[in-house]
Amino acid sequence: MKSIEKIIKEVILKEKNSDSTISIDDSHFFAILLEKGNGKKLWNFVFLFVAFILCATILITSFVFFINDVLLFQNSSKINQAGAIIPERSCKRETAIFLFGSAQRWANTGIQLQKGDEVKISYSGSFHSDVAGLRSAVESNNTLRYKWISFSNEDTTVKPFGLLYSAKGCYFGSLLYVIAGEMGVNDNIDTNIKQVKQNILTKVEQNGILYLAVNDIYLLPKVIAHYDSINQSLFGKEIIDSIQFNSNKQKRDSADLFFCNDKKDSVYLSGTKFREIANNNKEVFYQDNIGEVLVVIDIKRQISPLSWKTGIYRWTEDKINKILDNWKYSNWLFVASFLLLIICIIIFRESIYKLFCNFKKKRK
Amino acid sequence: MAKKKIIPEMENSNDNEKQNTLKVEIISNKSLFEILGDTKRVWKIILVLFILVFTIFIALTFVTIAIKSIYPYNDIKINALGATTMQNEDKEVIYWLFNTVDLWANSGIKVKKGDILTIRASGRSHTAIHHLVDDAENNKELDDKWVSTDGEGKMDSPRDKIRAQYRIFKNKPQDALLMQVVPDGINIKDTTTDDSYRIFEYVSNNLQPRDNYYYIGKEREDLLIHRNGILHFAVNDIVLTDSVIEIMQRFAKDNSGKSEKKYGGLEFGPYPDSLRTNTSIKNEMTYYKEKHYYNAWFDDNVGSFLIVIERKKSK
Repeated sequence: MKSIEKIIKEVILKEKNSDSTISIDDSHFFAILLEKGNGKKLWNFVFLFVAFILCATILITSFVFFINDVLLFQNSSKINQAGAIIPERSCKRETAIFLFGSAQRWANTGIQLQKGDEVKISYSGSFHSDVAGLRSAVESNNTLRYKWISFSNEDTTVKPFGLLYSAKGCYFGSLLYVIAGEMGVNDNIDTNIKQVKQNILTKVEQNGILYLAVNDIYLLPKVIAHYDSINQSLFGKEIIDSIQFNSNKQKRDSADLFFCNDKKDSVYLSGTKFREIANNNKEVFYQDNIGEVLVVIDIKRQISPLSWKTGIYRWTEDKINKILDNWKYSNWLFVASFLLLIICIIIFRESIYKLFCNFKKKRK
Repeated sequence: MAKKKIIPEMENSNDNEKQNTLKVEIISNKSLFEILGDTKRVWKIILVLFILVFTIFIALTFVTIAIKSIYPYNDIKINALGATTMQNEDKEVIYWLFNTVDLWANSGIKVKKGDILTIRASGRSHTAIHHLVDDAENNKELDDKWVSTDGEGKMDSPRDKIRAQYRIFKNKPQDALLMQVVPDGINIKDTTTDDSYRIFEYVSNNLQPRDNYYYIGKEREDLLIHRNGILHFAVNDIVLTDSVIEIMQRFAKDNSGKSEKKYGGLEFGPYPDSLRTNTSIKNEMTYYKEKHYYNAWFDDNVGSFLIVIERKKSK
């Protein structure tokens, strides 16, 4: 094969005298880079090459991510030991469905959460907090002393003393959650009880298992003292220990808290015995609850910085879904106006540019 | 890429001798070396590359989201009232727990005119907790049975047969599952006196279109929705609004001589005072009217239904 030099000589210099010179600098690319004095060019080449490889890798892995991890993701459902149904979704998301009875304080859902996860809890159903009072009222055709708590229309104004969660914003019958260890919720240690805000995304602040309860009265010592004192003020200090069960129905029915003995012939409204029984029956206000709660928990597992594709995709999908969920027909008008504006700017860009320049000149 | 530069250079050293000197200079990869020599340009190119890649990624994100919205596969959403929606390509399946004590409970499930729904439910309910407890305490067979969504299994007493005409769906089984489409923005529980969305048969004015009330019972397949709104659920029982109470009291008055039972067979209970008064002027109905206690006969219900709704997607 002829060299470039010979070809040029033959074609261009055919009829010319051969005093012409040809200089071809076709040194190898890398040879030139490695020459002395070309250090800057060498490093710039390295940066450029690495950036190119990185971009190619990102593009290829993105295609694989969208096809494999999103579009063709195999949704599978699992059921944990507590009976929660957990369908898995793409991009490290899960939705857990769990049914628990309102009489249960701190129902173990079996759902494991980690610090950094995000959860959104929604619930349905209704419950009543006083089955005996409910029966008594309906038997006598009376209005209910305590209403049914309906989760489809929550009443946030009722706040009796002694609620399990009594921080600002608390209300009777709300759904509470706490994240605790395998051994269950310890009232002395686990103080991170939170009240669920329906369908609001919340960040998980510690590792553990999710426990649920309705916000009802829990007999801590100060709460027992409170009821002791109320009963004393209602019925007088002569109620030292016990009163006859059958002959004091009115007192029994008007007291918020009393205890009976096994034979059901004595009623304790205040005093030592009252406090002793109360201490051994701290969940007495939960035990008379009737009704179930179906809880649905949307979980977004935390992702490492390396899984940025998952993060961006999840965030974008959530935003778009939020916009579409609240989409009104009047929004189409806004979109159409915006697109029309863009088209006008493109068509009349030269005129707009001239106007802008004239405006700038006038200002000067 | 090699850049070729051909520089013709003519030199006439001697007039007599025509000598053409042609100098050809070829430098490989000249433009690339020019770029590599300028660090700012290199970083600009790298920045442009990353912006391009990021833009392609965002574009792919939108394309994927669009494909998923057209072909959803087991996509799950939840609403603010606990309804869970599982989407597939051709249908959505929605689950929601309904307590039978609620009168027109708001499920938060939005529907549009023309939607086709198939509705089924599981669970059991009991119509009177005090009767349940009494029978259970006495180890007696239940007078009122636990029923499913079609209200089956209930033994209709003569009283119940007379009362049946005042239920939300007249003469349909008691405690059967019912559904209503309520327009968005209306909270039924806010209206203490307005009965527009509570009852079906007996409101003479402000009556909502009857085609927005549906009898579900055991199940309803391919149910056509007639207007936009939100699904509300109740069981079939008597809503004790002022108008319904007046009609029942009128019936009692007109039929008091015709039946051995009190109040023409309606058998109203006593007024909840210490004397337990039970006369035509003062009985449980007068109490409910005084207190606007329209859902008195719902408050003694016990039990829940897990409602499952399938919605076909329009193509």
